[in-house]
Amino acid sequence: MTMNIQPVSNERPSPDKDTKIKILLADDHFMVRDGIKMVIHNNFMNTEILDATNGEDVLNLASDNPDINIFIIDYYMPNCRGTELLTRLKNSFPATPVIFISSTEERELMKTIIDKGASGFIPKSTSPQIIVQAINLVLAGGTYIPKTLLEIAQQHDTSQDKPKAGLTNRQLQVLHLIANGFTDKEIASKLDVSHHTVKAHTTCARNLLGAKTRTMAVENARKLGLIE
Amino acid sequence: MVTMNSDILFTSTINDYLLMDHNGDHLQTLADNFQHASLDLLKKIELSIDDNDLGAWRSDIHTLKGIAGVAGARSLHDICDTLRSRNDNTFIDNPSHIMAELRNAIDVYCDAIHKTLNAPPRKESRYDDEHTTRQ
Repeated sequence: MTMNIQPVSNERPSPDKDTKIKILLADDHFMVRDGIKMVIHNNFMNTEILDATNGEDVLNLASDNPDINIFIIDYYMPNCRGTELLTRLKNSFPATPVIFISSTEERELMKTIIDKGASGFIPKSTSPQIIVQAINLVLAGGTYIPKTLLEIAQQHDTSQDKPKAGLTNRQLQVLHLIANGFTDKEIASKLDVSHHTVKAHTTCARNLLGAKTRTMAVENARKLGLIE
Repeated sequence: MVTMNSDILFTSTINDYLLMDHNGDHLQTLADNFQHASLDLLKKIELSIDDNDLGAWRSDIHTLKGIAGVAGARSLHDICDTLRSRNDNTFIDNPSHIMAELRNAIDVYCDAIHKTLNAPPRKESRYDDEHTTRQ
């Protein structure tokens, strides 16, 4: 089985810490929305969250708010198929990433959704800090793949010499510069981004590589052959 | 950091909520909402059993699993996961047992959260204790 975990393009600029982030959050249960909102408001400084409870709401709010930065949508909502909604959103808002949340942790479903263009899949039992990292990763242009799916993908995908482990090219660039001894500020200056953005890339790379520190992330990336 | 039962709670989720504020208000709000929402869902699940409506039952169990995940209620989440993955009509065989199991998991979660929120902060290390005593 070959899994599609190619890194996505990093053309969309990632918002800096001071930039306002507009999120459309859709789930038919208030408790899920409240829980995720609590996590977002506590971890992102300047955020506006739009609530939706079904697919129709999502499409209406999306067309009224073309400046939405990210969609976070429950895969199963009443009268709404997640894949259908994804297709419609991708047709109308191709540059806006879509993360699905779900109670389901079926690997085949996760894989299908990512293959169809979603930027992530977050099981509802995911801890708040991982949710934050996943949102950061997606805002930085990456794709969040749950650990269980990523491990399987790495075991099965032998078709490439250098598996990218879901890292974006930008994250690999940052890791490469860390490996060469550059500080966050120096990397920020080299890549012409803020040091917050560099930090976000590093955090996401650490998460994807299962590393607690920058040094460990570099080591793991080297072991995987991602960087020299 | 307090000691938590990892059979009952998703401990990393609960710890993350506790880290969000100093007095545990977020976790308390979440747990209160969870208690109300889960008990409402139990009523719906009972109705779906009475109506022999497997579709509604599955949907409600799915929703209960979702809110259990968000609230960090591991044991309830796992029970729902097992129930949801069944492809037969087994809920009809022993509904009272299933309802009791779900209710118990909710009670146990609420109790564990109450204990977590009321637990005294754990001391950093034995050295710290001795050091403080000497001073």
